[in-house]
Amino acid sequence: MQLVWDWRLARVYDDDERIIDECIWDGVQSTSALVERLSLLMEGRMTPEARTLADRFPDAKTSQPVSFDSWPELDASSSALLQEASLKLAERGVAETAADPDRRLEYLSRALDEARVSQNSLESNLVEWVGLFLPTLNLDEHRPSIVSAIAASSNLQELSELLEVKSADVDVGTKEWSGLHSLAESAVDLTTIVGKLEDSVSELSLAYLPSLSALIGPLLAAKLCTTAHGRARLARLPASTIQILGAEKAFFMHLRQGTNPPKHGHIFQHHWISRSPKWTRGPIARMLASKVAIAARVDHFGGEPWTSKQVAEVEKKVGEIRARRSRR
Amino acid sequence: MESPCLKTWCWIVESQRTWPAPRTWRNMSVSRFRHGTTISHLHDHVCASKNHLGGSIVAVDISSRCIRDIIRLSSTRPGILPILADCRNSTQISPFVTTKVPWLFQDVSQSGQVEMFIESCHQFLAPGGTGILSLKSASERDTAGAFNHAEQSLIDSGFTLVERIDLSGWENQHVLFHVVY
Repeated sequence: MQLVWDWRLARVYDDDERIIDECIWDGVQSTSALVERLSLLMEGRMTPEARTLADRFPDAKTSQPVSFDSWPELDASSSALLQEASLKLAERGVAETAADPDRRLEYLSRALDEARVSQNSLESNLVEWVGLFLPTLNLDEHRPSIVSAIAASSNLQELSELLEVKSADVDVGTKEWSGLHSLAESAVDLTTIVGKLEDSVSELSLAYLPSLSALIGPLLAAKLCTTAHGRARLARLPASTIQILGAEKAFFMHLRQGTNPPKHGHIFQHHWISRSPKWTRGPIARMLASKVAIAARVDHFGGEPWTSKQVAEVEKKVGEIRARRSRR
Repeated sequence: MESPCLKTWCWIVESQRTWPAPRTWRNMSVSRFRHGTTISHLHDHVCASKNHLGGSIVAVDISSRCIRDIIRLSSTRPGILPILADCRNSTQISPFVTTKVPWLFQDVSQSGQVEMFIESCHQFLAPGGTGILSLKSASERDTAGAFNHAEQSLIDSGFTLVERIDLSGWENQHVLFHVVY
């Protein structure tokens, strides 16, 4: 005996494919009602009609309508209804992805990276450019303040006074100056944009990846999550993969050409690794990656978020590795 | 002809023959269609303008980005059912396909494409129905042997291979398998 159903009706067939019982959906056939039914079916659940028959025939096995030749074809009106409903369902599905934190984190971090790269290249270009006109200016020492100084001055004279240096004996035309000045203004704007994006990534990351953010900071947590293509996947990755996320180039070079394998990917940005002596970085990266894997799983599978207590334990281990390896 | 998505077009040009076009049949497409050009071509045959042939195309994709394009497409081309679902999970598709379909096209670029295709055909394709598999070798672990492996698996699962078309030049590393179930 087999119980079969789709959104229109439910049937019980005997072993010779004869219909024993049938229950037809007799409710109002509206698109919205069908959308609800279809989403029920997509989760593999029963319609009310199927449930009724399942109660009547508790030993019937469930089966798919496609396996039965006698299953009724769709008529024109139900075909049109199904099409309308599937459209609504698809629209709903598309709208639901807007709430997906993985996607938002991905776009946010991408925007942040982009803004940082352009801010950096604008700044270095501006610093060198203005260095031409201010030959005695110490470009390294004043680097952080140069761009904002250009943006705050209305001509070269004013800039040289602001930075307390002598300007070269050149005539900078108003057009060139205005180009330089507007570029500096946009570099300053970009700095604020980077700040805003960083705040926003942190906010989302702290809510979405609380343990991971506590362990390695919200920005790095977001970076690992997006590189892994989402929290669900990050939570399922082995620690060894997490360790080299972001070092794919070096890793495949290792596989293809036998170069040394990378010891760390994005995880290197954490000061426990980047500020440690070179010979301790491998073991620390290994240990930290394992902890990252645990933290990501805690976040994804709804565990108790980590607090400073767990982080302090990890930090202690970092100290131990450093101490153990310092004999070299 | 420069669009990488004109796979059905490539096929028609490459095989120099009229394609076994589905007409006025319920037709299913398990596909990653990106810009929906494949779906448009199929629609011309199955539904035609304003769906006067009364056909329907079940278009399945896992990515909401692709589905939103298909939603727009289906507003001008009635007869398309856009389904946001994973085509490996038949529970998500079966509510929309309650009788067997005479035509199935699959173009998913991910590993295990052949197995997915065979499984969907077993479940949804009517006996004697046409199945078309667009196989991307770069998605498989064994890139070099992917095509031969696919051909062998299809034959072993009881399909009759009608044609195997190399799409090099239009769509590299792709082969279309035209089979009858």
